[in-house]
Amino acid sequence: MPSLVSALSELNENLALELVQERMLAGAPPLDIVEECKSGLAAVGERYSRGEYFLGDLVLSAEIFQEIMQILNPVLMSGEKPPAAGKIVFGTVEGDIHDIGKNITISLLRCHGFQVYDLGVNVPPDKFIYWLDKTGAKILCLSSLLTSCFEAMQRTVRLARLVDQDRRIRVLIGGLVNERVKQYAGADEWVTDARRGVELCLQWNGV
Amino acid sequence: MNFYDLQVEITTEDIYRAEGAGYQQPPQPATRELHRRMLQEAQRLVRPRGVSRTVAVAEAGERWIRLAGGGVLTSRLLARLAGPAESLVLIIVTLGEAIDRRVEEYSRHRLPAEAYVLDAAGSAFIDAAGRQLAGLITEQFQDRGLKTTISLGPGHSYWPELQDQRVIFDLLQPADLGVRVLASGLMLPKKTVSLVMGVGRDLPESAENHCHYCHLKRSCPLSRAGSGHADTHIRHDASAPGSGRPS
Ligand code: B12
Ligand code: SF4
Repeated sequence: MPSLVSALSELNENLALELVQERMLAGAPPLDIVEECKSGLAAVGERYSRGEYFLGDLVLSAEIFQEIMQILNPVLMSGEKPPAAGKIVFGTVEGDIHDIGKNITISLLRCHGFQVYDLGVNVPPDKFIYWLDKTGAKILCLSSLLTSCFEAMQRTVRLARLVDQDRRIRVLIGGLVNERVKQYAGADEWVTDARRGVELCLQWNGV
Repeated sequence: MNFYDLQVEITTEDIYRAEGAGYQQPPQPATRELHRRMLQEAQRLVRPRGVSRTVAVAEAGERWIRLAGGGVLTSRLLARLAGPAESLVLIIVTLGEAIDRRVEEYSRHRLPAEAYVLDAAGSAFIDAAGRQLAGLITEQFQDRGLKTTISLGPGHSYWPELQDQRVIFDLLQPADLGVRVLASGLMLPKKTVSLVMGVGRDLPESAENHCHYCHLKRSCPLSRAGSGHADTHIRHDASAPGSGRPS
């Protein structure tokens, strides 16, 4: 019998959904089904790391997982829900409108249980701060592909540090960035790969 | 000013390439199906159009070119390749905003895979459209006994001043195409490119295309600087699909 793990790892959406329904009818605890799906996602991640899968596959698996969660959510008792991985404020910095990388990363983060506040593109520094304050998020994710916007990244991080004197907020930057941009902006880490970004956020949240 | 309606065709392979996805084995059926679907959707949504204008070169320095009328473009590479040119041809090509809107819709409805692949399809389409129009214009000049340089675009590492977009916009006024420029120098619709080529009789030699001069040439999915890409380069490619027609 095909397993849910392999259905997900082969991106077979119909089969995965069918198997979820079957498992539910057979009375399997929903949390067990979630765990199996997570193993499927991990298998996709491994294939991505080996260069067998690419970004499109990764995002497709996230989409299938979200669909499964929509079926499972109503039957998961509140006490049974997988623990939220944490809150993240995410946006493309002021002056830049590139958002496809940001959106992909957000979908992967949500898949791993993060509650992500997507502020969109061309986001001024004070809007990031407002949302950090309002949500109590401990991770700030900034995206930019434009060199001319690294200054806006720096302004945003400075403002965040100003209101976060005890440095509880971690800042992750992504897009067309590198170690120099990280230093310049004053961020904690930089990535050019969405999956690596998710791994870092999970680490930071002790997940 | 010349306006062009372009007929551009791409394949799912072009989309994979725009994603930087170099599969060793055939992708999973779901991935193939998604790409097939998004290619079809992109074909329905894009409307590749362009505008071009030829402007005389007034003066050139080591790192700038001043155009008749006063606009100055500031790139060392442009000055080296097109400084000796008689004129510059300025080009803007766009796919229109329908594809941007659809990508946004997919993102909003939490369908990130569709958003990602449709976006990549748009990049593949505009990349092909830009090369097609540059090839067509090159042919038109060749028919008049003139040569063109490779096409360059502001904002790349060899031409870092994205604000030079303003000079191009002032001269092309591409509002008729529905294209506008933002304070950052970025353009809307997103799937839009701006290109500049030198036109003249005695032009210096150059690499095949602008990717060779770009600092992202090794990592960029759209790069045509590496080996392995059948390069329909602009400079000598008289056989570039010339299906665009001035309108
Ligand atoms: C595809 C592309 C295009 C396409 C589509 C653009 C679009 N907006 O849709 C087209 C061909 C239309 C285009 C046009 C232009 N482009 Co362009 N383009 C690119 C290219 C090659 C890839 C960008 C992309 O979509 N990548 C795919 C996504 C998925 O990747 P990503 O955003 O990096 O995100 C990934 C990670 O970084 C991560 N991520 C992203 N953000 C974050 C944040 C966090 C916190 C985390 C954890 C992760 C994360 O997640 C993603 C998945 O791993 C880049 C170069 C490059 N290699 O990056 C140039 C680039 C962005 N373009 C550039 C330029 C100059 C232009 C033009 C101005 C050229 C011209 N003269 O016409 C125009 C402007 C277009 C406009 N509308 O204004 C420059 C900008 C440079 C600058 N000045 O800063 C770049 C950097 C190329 C270069 N040579 O320098 N472009
Ligand atoms: S390598 Fe990529 S970013 Fe650089 S010029 Fe070529 S297509 Fe543009």
